[in-house]
Amino acid sequence: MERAELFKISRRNVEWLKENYESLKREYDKLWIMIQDRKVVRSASTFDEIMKTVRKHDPNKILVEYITSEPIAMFF
Amino acid sequence: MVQAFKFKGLVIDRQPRISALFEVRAYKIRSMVNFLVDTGARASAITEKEATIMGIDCSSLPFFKYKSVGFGGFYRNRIINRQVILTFKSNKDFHQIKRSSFMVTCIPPKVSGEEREKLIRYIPNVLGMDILKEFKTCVTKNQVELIL
Repeated sequence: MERAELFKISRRNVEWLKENYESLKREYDKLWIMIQDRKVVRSASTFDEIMKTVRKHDPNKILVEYITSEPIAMFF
Repeated sequence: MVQAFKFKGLVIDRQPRISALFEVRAYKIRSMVNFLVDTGARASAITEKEATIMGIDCSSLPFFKYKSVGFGGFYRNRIINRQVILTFKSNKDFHQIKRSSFMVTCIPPKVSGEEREKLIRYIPNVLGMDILKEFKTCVTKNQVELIL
């Protein structure tokens, strides 16, 4: 896949995540989600569980995120 | 007047993030990675989560020679000891940054399964000052821009 296409797909998934973050927190609270083509394809409660689905997909076409509504302060 | 190259990312849940193409040609890996832009971090790193998605077995990587510190204490991270190419996409062109190695934040082997899951959930891929020093970094409420 061309570089430009990889960036385009990634941007679409990240933009969709940002636009829908609040509703995702309500629907998929405390779950891992796999996003592809601007929709949630799979959710799972653990990373090992979501990886079973991730391994069947092209990693450049998906976005894997853990969603939580819990306000956790993160310091990095 | 010379126009600047602007690399744009988004702020999601108050975290400034930018995507880059992460390549390790020695491993035949070419994968998009979503990084937290962290001007407080000295070094950049990908997570065990990201490495696993790329198909890298973290336990096979050598340890990084220095300790790393976070709010959870000191850690021994691992390292990809091969050339890593990071590609950023700007408004005009692509920009590559090459590094002879790249750190991977790996979960310590002795932690419980529950603790391991928690750490994988919250540790982000980090773009630290080793990379950010090459750009002017600008973060606003909804957007992050790296300017060259």
